[in-house]
This record gives sequence, C-alpha cells and structure tokens, in this order.
Amino acid sequence: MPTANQIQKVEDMKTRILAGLVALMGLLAACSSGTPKANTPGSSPAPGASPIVIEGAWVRGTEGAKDTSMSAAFMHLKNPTDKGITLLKASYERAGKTELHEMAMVDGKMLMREVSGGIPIPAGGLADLGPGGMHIMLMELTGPLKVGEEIPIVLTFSDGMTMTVMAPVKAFAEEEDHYHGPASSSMPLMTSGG
Amino acid sequence: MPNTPPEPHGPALSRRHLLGLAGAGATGLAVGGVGGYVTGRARPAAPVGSANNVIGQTYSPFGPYQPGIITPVPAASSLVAFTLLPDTDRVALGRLMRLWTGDIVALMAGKAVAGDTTPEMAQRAVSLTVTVGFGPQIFARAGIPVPPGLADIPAMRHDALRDDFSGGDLLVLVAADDPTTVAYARSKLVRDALPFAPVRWVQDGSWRGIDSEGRAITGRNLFGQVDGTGNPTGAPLDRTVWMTGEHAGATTLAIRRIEMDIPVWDTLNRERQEKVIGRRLSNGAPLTGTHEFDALDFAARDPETAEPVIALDAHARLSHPSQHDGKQILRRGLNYTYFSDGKASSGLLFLAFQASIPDQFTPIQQTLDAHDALNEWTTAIGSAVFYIPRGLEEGGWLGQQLLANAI
Repeated sequence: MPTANQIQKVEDMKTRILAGLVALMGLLAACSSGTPKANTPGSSPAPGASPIVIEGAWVRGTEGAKDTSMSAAFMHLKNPTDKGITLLKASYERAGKTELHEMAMVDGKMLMREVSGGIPIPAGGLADLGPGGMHIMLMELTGPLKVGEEIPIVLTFSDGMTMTVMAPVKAFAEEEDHYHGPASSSMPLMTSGG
Repeated sequence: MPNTPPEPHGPALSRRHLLGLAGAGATGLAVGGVGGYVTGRARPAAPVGSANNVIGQTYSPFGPYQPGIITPVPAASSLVAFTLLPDTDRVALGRLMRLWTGDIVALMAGKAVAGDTTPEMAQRAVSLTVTVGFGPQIFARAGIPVPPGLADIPAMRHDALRDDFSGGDLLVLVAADDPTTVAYARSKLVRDALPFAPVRWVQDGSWRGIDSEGRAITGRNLFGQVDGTGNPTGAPLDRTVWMTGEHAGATTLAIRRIEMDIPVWDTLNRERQEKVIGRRLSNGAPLTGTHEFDALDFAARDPETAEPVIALDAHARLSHPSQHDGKQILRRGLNYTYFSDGKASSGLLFLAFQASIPDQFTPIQQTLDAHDALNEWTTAIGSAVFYIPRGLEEGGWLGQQLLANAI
C-alpha cells in the first residue's frame, strides 16, 4: 500500500491538477484495449474503454545502466470517475516479468517491494508513479530500451478494462540504483535519516 | 516590430484576438476551471486599472496557431536550431514531436516534464511560450512536399552570413518573462531531442515590451528606435501570417541576424538618424505625424527644400505595404549583445512571420537590400527559414497532420 507520503503526493498532485489543467487530460498516449496506436499521444476514451487518463508516461532507458535487464516506467494515472479503480497489472512484450512496486519504510530502512493488491487510483483522484515512489518495474528485458523509442505498456485495471500506453524512453534522470535493485520482493535501498 | 499588441493603439489585446487565439483550446481550459485563454495573475509592475498583457501570463498551448507568434514578446527569448541525425526519419520525427508536445503542454502549464529532476523550476504565470518550426530538410526526410510558402531566402548584397548563425532542420523558439525560465524549458527540449537531432546553433535575444508603468508598448531596438509600429493587426494580420487550405493555421518564419554598427550609428546626429528611418526617435511617430501610429504621408514635402519629409530611401517608406502591393510581414524583434575578446557584437534578431517567404519576405527584403538607407549600419550575419506547423489540438501532437499520414 502507498505510504502516507505518497498519499500526500497524490493529494498535492490532485490539487495541482484541479487548480489548472484539464487541458492536459489525455495527453500521453492512452488508447483503449490492447491495440497500441503509436500516432496518438492522447485520446478520449472510446465507449467501453477504460476511463483512466494517463499523463506524463515515460520509461528509463537501459543504455549505460549497470543492469540492462531491468527498468522502470512512471506515469500519472487519473481517475475521473466516482469509484475507486485499482491498477492490477502492467505488462510489456519485451519484459519477461513486470511488477508494480512501491517504496516503503520498514524498520528504519527504505525498501522497494511489490505492491500487494495493486495500485489504487482513488475516485476523482490520481496515482502518481514516479522516481522514489510507486513505479512499474520492467524485468527480464529481452533487449535494450533506447532513449528516443516509444514502448507499449499494457495496463490492466480492477474494472476489467485494459489500456495500452505508448511511453517514451528517456535518459536516466537519477542514479539508477533506486530502481534497478535485485528483483527480490523486498530489498533495502538506503537507510533513513542518514 | 515585435509582434506586440495586435491592437495598435492600445496596450490590451482585443477580446476578438484572444478568442481567435484560444480556438479549440479554450473549451478544454474553461472546463478545467481556468476560465479562458490568458490566465495571468501576477501583474506586479502594472498599477491598478492599467492593462498589461505582456508579463505574468499563462498561455494555452492549444489553439489554431502555435503560441509565440502573435502573443506579446516577453523579456527573454531563445532560438535553438537542430540538425537531424542521419537515421531520424519520418517515424522518428513523430516520436520526437510527441515527446516535445508532452513537454510543451506541461511546461506552459507550469508543470515539470516527465522525468524532470528539478520540477520546482516549472512555474505558471511566466509568459512561457514554445514555438516549433520545421526546416526544409524535414520535408525531404519525411518524403512530403515542401509547402509553397517555405523557400530559402536568396543571397542579398548586404549579407555576410555565418554558418554558426544560419540554417537548421528543426527549430524551437522559447520565450518567457525571464532568462532562467527560458533556459530551464530549453534544456528539457534539447535533452529530449538529443537522440534525434543535436543542437546546431542557439541565439538568444531580449525585448522590453512594457514601459516604466508596466503598460504594453512597442519596444525599441539597440539603435534606440521604436521597432514594430508598422506590424499588421486585425484582418491584415490574419492575411499576412496564416496559410490557408491544407496548411491552415501554419505560417513561416524567416530569421535574420542583423548586426548593427552601433559605434558608428552613435556618431550621427538625431536628425540624421531620424531621416534614415523616417520616424522620430522620441516616440516612433512618422516624420509627417505626431503620434506613433499616425499614418505615414509619403507625399509631404519640406516647404523650404521641397524634399520629401520621409526620404525616398527611408526605411519606413521602403518597407511600407504601400510599396509592396499591400504585402506585409509580421515582425518580432529581439535585441542581442555579446562580448567577445572585449568587443561588443550587437544587433537585432529579426524574426519575420508570413504565410509565404517567396511572396512576402523575399521581395520586401530585396527592396530594402537595394535601397534602404539603413544598410550602411546593418549587416545580415545569420539567416534561416522554417515552416511553423499549425497549433496543437488536445490529444494531438505537433506536426501530426504532416508526419502521421505521409507514406
């Protein structure tokens, strides 16, 4: 489950979004059910499509990484409906394994671990997947993720809908260790308060 | 002639103008509670009751036209030209345009771009605009016809062009209230372009588009001249700038880096300086008038000498639409100065927007090149041309009409 800090981040983001910019809605490649449409950075959901709106999706490139078999995907998932929806699963055709991860403080240590039960997107709210927080872990990659590419990530939600997000691959923004630790279910990344 | 307010006699943009700019984007913004096209709130320099549509603005990235063309010129601007890498084909260009579209929509809303490690740098109400242009090479690379309005500018007699200020396959024009914001936004766009197109040149410029009371004004170049008074407004502006038909909402941009010989210019007396232009230094009024926007009277003669009051080789006469079958350009001037080896290099980044470079910019420029009195103190040292695609639709991406459907 998200930490209090992450929930606060979500609340902050919600406020920012409400304060401003529906104009941003649907900006990054979100299209319904399975078929990636690379030429559509954003689109309104078609009837029967997932109501979730994706913004700012991106994936870390693996070129130059210590471990090129793993990467992470980030995005903001917005739920405009009045019912909570959970992101249950994400997949990418060139990743042997994909997990939804969170960062959590356990016994004074910041851990990265798989989220149990998926990532909730509150009614009228937002789930903020970003460096240092929740993210989609792409593992057992069969090829490099080159900066400048776009890759399709399929998201499965608790309402039974799926959605394919075309996410651009961007260069490392921070030290890779935060997102490229060993793929155990729970691993220490750094000590707190240091 | 900065593209300062399209309404020439007042500082405020007209309501019609704003609505025209907002276009499709306005609907979405209104739904979002922003309540319109211009959502500026910070107007620190403007006394209560005075209009200021120059600084502290938040512009929509959506609409029929790209921002940064007819929006007022803020204090800081940067032009960045890129060279396409050999393998940047039509499909790769599409990926870059989608990336940049996401960046621009976020940045203009005061939000960080995806993956930004310095999100606090993104701010609203900084008058940020980003304008994207396609050089001629884009059309060759994508295998699509070059729009008729885009053509190279033929060599001019007074050219002394330098490669490091000329050409380019792709362009971004970033403008904002301050150079820090411009540098921040520019760095994100340059970074995302790196896998597709490295930087060819960067040219920075500044403008002072408000007076000491914070009111919008035309602004001055580094010769001290009020520069931009003659810009078209209203219907002539639309006719001058926007392409029609399949390229509706698109335009072209001619960039000329005009080096100005300020030390020599400064040795002229004011009467001579005003005669060269045909306008007064004090307020930009024509020598035949009193106020800045008074019409020019080309027939008026000095009662004693019988010479034309506005000289035959005066810049204001030769560049006037009446001398060019009504043809005009929309100017957006930016001043530049830099020092190298202790020596100043100063001038004007002359940005001209027009539906057609060969039909509008080139003939006007050829006339000036042949006869303009100002040529004695000015030299073009850089030159570049770009097609400026139409504005963004929500959910769309820049250049989509050109790049998505090409074979």
